[in-house]
Amino acid sequence: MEKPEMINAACICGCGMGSSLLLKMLLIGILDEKGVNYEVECGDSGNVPDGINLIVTSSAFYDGLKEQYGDKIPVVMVKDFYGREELIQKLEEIGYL
Amino acid sequence: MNSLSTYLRKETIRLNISCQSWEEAVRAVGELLCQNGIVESSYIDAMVNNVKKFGPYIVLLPGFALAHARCEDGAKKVGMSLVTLKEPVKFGHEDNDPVSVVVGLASTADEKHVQFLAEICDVIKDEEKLKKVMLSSDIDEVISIFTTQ
Repeated sequence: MEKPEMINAACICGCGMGSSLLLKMLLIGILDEKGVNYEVECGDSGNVPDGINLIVTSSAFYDGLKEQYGDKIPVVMVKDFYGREELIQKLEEIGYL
Repeated sequence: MNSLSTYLRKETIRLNISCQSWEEAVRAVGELLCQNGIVESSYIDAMVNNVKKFGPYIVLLPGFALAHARCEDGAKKVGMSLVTLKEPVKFGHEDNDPVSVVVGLASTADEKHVQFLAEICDVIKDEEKLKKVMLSSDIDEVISIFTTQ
């Protein structure tokens, strides 16, 4: 995967304001530290925004999102909402960090 | 004092309640939100349906569930409620069951709750503080644990 100029991410869960918000905080913390430009939104699984180049979600939503978007947009799963190392590793794996 | 002190109030907390199921626990925090004018009663059903539809993903941390629904499901304003359970209850989460502390959350569309959500989780992640919350029968003490950081 080519590293984008700017990460335009959607953090997705069931309602777009609970666990997705924790994912957003986790992601932003990492991207701030790494000096990466970004825009990060939260959404629910029925309302994934357009124009994004990354989806971050938890295990409950991963399979569905991967199936729907996975061939065009990298979908990253986070098990632990405070798992910095986990998310850093997964972002590195897709070449975004 | 942190932003939680605005949202965490005596009227929206119940300690050591008995719930026979996860649904009862979610309805308990939902009722507190509704009684305090934070949500319509439709929001309570939406909180339950959220779990029925997507599974127990709301059990965000060991022992802790964040019950919520979407703004358009009946949230009137930003607010929260909290219950601790006399006996822990299983939600069916792979890693974080059983649950002893449930927070009910409602917000408006602009993520106003982001700060106090982070503050709630900071306390829940702290094993010592979580234990104190779980064992307490004093609402003032619980408020103090969450608002002193």
